Amino acid sequence: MSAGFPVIFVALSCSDRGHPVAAAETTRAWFTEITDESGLDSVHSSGARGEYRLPEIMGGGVALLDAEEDGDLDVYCVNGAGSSRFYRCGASGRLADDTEASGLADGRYGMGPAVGDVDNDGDEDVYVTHFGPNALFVNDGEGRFADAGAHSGASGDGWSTSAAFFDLDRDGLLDLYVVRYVTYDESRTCYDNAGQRDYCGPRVFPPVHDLLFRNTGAGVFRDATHAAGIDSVAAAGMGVVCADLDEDGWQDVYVANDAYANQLWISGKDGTFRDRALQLGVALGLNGQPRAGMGVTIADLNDDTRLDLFVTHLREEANGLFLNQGERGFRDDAGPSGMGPSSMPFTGFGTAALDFDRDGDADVIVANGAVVHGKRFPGVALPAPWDTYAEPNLFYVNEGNGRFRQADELGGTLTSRVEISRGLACGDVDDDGDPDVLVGQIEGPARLYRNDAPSGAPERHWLSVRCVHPGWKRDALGARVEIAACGRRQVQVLSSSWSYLSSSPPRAWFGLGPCERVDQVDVRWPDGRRERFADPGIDRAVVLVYGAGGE
Amino acid sequence: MGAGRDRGPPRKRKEERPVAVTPVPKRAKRVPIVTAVLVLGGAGAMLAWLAQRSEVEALDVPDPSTSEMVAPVARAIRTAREAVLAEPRSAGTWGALGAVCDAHHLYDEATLCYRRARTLDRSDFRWVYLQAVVRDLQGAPGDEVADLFREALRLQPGYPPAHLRCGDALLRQGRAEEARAAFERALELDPTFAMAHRNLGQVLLALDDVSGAVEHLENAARLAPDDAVVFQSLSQARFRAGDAAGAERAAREAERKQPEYGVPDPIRFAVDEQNATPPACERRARERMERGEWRAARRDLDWLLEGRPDDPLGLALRGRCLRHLDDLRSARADLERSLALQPKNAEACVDLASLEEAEGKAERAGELLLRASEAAPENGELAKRVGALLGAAGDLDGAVRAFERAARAGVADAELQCNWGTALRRLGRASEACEHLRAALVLEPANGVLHYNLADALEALELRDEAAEHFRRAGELAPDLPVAQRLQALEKK
Repeated sequence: MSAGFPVIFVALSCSDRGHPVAAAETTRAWFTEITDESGLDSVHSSGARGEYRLPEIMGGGVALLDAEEDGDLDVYCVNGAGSSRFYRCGASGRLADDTEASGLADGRYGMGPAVGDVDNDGDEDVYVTHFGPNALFVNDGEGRFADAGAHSGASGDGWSTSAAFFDLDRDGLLDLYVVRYVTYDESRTCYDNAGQRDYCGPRVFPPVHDLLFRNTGAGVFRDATHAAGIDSVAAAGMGVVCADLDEDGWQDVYVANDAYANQLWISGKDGTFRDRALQLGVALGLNGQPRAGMGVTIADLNDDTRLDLFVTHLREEANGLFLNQGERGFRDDAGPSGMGPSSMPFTGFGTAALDFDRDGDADVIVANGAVVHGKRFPGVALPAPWDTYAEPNLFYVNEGNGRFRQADELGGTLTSRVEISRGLACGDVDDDGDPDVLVGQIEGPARLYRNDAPSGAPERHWLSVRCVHPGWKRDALGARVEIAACGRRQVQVLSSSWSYLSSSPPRAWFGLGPCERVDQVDVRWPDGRRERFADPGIDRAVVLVYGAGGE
Repeated sequence: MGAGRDRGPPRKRKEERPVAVTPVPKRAKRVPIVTAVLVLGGAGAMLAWLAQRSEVEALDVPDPSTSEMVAPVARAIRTAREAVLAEPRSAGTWGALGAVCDAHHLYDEATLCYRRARTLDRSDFRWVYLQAVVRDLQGAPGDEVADLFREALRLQPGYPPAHLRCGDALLRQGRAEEARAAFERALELDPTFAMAHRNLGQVLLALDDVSGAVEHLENAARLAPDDAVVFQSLSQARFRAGDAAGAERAAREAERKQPEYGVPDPIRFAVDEQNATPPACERRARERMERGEWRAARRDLDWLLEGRPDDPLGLALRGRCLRHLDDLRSARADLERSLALQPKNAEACVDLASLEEAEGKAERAGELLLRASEAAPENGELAKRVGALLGAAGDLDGAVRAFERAARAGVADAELQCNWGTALRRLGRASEACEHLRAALVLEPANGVLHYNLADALEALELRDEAAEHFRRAGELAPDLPVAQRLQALEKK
């Protein structure tokens, strides 16, 4: 890979190239399923045998990544029972199962992937969480991976769920936060409200603390959990995002917990962290009670250039929208936003808050699927007993100023299918400048959806941003990107880990609507440095290089 | 129907010649009228019954599939449904079916039933209230839920839990000011309603009334000192108020407590009573056993075991109930079966040990107790009971070890300290005994037995004056104790 990264626009594709968009049709579905035509045929297997072992209902992680750095997005689907599957995107844009050759044929009971360049050699490596010790697969530069085994120092143990790479100490090396769930005891049996056997909830088992691994170089990690103070809290962790939430130039970590208060680990700037979730208002619901947090994403959801948090929850608990209020902390605004009560019949997992229609504000997808028996939704095609866990997904269109409209009619089969959805990742699979969607299921096929939202020029312009550091030879995970266009400012953070058990390419997709010019792009790099890039253009993907901008 | 209406004079038959007509007596007139009334009334009743039946069929009484449900749940639903079919015009039967469905999270069916019950009896606020709760759980549109709560509160404005739940629903919809009013109303009705203080504190925080939030959360903390949620919220409020140290203290307090989720709501409790699932039965049984309601607890455990006949914990709990109800043979059968299924079931071990000890089988009792404490070393209450039984059986060293385990598990009551001290005294460790007995007296200063035992230990340490003082106090508090003899013996020394 070349060492220099000029500011260029690049094309990314793994399916149709330049899909022509018809004139805006407000009632046409925005998402078109392309699973079959793409070549993706991964089916998740939980290994369930009627014993209701909790890990069976919790996996289904997925990743979109560019394993060969060829500009095409590959797909990785983590499996529970049976091998995980890796699909390589070929020159034709079609996916082909290349699991064996890739080295990612992981036969352990998998949860989800986290993607990052752990050795700063210019290619993506993959960390997979398990029910059991985790695995770090190191990329040889050609898109083939080898399990680093215990040598990585980041195996951990117990039951891990989501994981995220981030630079906690600003040394240019990606460190690793691993969320863990509970100490599982398969001898425990639980029942639903009809007295039938069912999966247990997390409170039945002892909670555990998460793990923090510090990268010592060359992809070797050291356990820094205790030194960082992460072991001071035990909970049942599910989702994680890393970002500078208090805007002090250091990366923080937010963890969504299941039936326990969430955590917001604020960096002490010295390798230590303190949980400030309670004080900052992101630990609990509005009525002060912990909820079952599953997935989490970060975005500016009310157009005030502050990064907000969206957390998905269990049925009969509204999803949480924590609006960032600066020094006053956060406030749960899901109710007035329109995304609260409508979510109560569903159990949300993977989620994405991205500008799917390029109108300048982030829309929200929630991947749903129950964890206990529920009602049988119309249209479910799964056999018993899975049919009572299947739920439709949700799609919300941002109508501005933090208000959302439930718009499932625009989701196509993304929202009409009734399945047990879990992981959700986004990436520009067809290289048309907008994010497409990959969804993982329990006991079902991974599904790929092309974004066909009304967005063709001249009505809706766009800018896609990638930030790279030439010295690190990788994406600058944690970079905060803010654009100024037509009197408006928009902000996003570049991260590969958000949602639930999933990984996405770290890109910022800015929708510009009718605005035809971006005046500037301001980047705050993970090491605190700020740079400005002027006039990046529109309707293109740009790569911003550390040090190439003005201060 | 026209019954009783004057139909005019009877018509003349054609062949009759007009003659002078003598008026028919009234009584004679009544007979055909009454007959007509009876016939028509009967026909009307028949029509009404038929209409009712077809109405019931048209109403489509919920019939959830019970094939996968455990027997008690299926039976509860079937029974409630049959009651509706028998009395379709009764709001009570519809409401009861709604409650059974509600208790088992069959919310669509529950909603339909509560709606029917409302239609049949608009004056009973329970039906609209329960419908509001269920619709809220279903994520129904905010206005619908708010209207239902308002209707319920119009019918029964003096029920604080309804105001609280209404506030919660409004808060979930983001209607913070209305939620605030609802919580304030709940507190007007009951100023000691801890959860209302807690939730009001939360909503005031959302409304940026930080000082008000702190005030109400501190009230909640005083009223519900064991609720982790209160202290979590208080931590947040104090932080917002600039009291970082106070926020930290509250956060540490929260870590030591358990969260309280349930709203004290008798109407919802009545719904919960319909829940016949094994976990609900176990939970209710335990709560009832703590209150000494052994018969009611036994009913819950019968339900539990009907659904899970080989549940060792259910058998152990029912065994305990039966023991307290003096059905010792059945108690033994349940406990033995529990242990056969799960040899290390600590609860069964302890209860069976009690039975064995009562029958003089001390050795078997001891074995069971040892098994119990090995099976549940972290169970402090169990360890305390084990210690008491071992002490009574003469195994003083075993008793002391059990008391130590109980203390490590966090038990610190007077009973533990007393028994511990007594065991140590009997082992000749009088000085240690005094420490524990003094600790017990701090907790129960008016306990004559404690004074007596402490006096005994003090005497062993030759602290005669102090011993005499405690003997005298024991005599005042518990005249049956042989204080006089002990004082005489002391004076002779």
